[in-house]
Amino acid sequence: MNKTLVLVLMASLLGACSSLGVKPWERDLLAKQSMQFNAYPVDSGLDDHIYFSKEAASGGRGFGGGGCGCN
Amino acid sequence: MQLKKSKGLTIAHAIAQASAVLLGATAPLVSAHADDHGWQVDTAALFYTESDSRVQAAEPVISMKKDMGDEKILNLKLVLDSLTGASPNGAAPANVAQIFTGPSGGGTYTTPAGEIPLDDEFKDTRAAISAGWQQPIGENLRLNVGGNISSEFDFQSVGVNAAIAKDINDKNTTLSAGINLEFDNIDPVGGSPEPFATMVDKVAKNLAGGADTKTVTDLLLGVTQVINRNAIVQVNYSLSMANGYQSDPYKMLTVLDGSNNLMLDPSIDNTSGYNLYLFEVRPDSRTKHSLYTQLKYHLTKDVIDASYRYTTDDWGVNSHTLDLKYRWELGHAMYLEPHVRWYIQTEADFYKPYLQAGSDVAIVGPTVTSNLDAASADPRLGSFDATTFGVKYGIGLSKDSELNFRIEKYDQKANGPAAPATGDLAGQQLQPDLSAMWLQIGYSFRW
Repeated sequence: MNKTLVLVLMASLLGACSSLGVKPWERDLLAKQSMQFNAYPVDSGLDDHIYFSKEAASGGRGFGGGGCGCN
Repeated sequence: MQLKKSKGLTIAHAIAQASAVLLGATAPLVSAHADDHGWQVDTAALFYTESDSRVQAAEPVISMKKDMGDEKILNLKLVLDSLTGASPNGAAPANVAQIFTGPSGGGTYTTPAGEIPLDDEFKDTRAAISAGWQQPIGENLRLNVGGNISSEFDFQSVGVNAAIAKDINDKNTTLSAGINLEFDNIDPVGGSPEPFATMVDKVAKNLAGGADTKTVTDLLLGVTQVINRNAIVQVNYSLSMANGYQSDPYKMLTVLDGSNNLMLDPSIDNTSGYNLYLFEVRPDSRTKHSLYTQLKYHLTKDVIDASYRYTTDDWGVNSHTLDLKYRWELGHAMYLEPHVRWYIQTEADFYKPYLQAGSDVAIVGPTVTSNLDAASADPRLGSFDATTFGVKYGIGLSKDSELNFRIEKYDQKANGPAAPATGDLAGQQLQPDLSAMWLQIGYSFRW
């Protein structure tokens, strides 16, 4: 019973995975600048630099804010 | 002739738009301008200020991007950074005035009772340039290579990086892997103090070396996944390994005697009656792991940007960061974007707001020896939480140009240990809070 449940759950999860994504003609919104992960790299670069110099953790989004003697 | 030219442009434009749609999220901005091989230029000026006349900075940036055709993209960036003000020297605030020598060994400065000891010799100018190149190297496979150089009067850094990204699953999934190598040279004013050298001995016995070095290797693995027409997510794992000199050559620790009072430096060279302060030492190796995830969600018109990051390292620092932005489209090409960020970190294993003579430090006659391998009172290695509240306003001036303004307010609330109930530090907040604000003006245009 439990095994069947697990199998059904796994199958439905896999189904969910394969239904992720869009067709090429459905990318109108994703293609907008505001939908890019790093839509304003100058802003994020400046912020990363500030946080790098004031906090002990850094990086994550990309390579961690190096090249500064401020930390 | 005129007609033919404009028709040609229109077709090119249509192809560009189509390819933007086909390429999707990975490089849509650039391909949207495939009809125009000019430079996309982003400029900004940042003004940063801390309360209590601590650090102030002005930072102009220019970033340029050019589509060279065939999906080859060149990126160039220049950042200048001019800092002035005062920075905590690591010593604890006390109920009595304290006198310190500056890093160069020449001058002295006095911190009044009840104030955080700040070294006001803090001045720096930094210039950083970086360049990046992206091009396809196979079907749905892109290569990015780049380099950066930055220079301050006491610090130089050179970095190189490379990354590959592979689109699969109808370009709905992108897998990426990257490596970054960084080489740093640290040449502090007055030399880098020997481990746990006292403030007096560093100058009197010349316990300072010359330049030191550090290397950092970063590895990054990432997955981006299109969820549906409105949503895309990203998950990154990164590993960062730093080796070499990682102490702050300007930071010290206060030493307290058995009665929790400040004590005189026992050195025979201490003719001016300085108290005992030792230069900090951090481990020469640090390994950090971080997990970062970001969601972009397009509502009817507005966009939600949410990210979360967890980091952990072998210095004992664990952190959580949650960042939320809401881009509210106001119409007429204007938007308003409120921003909130929460951050919390645990303290490094070797974080100590002060050292205790007898246990942390052994004093025999004029000789001071540390019983610790590492210790730092740098508040950035302490336990604290921080919030940022900000808002950005942007207005599109034409198809390719935008003017924007941004203001952010940042507050760190220290969770450090309390001062001893008796003695010279009683009642003082040993780990300072920090309050900062920054303003940014940005202008992007096509050139």
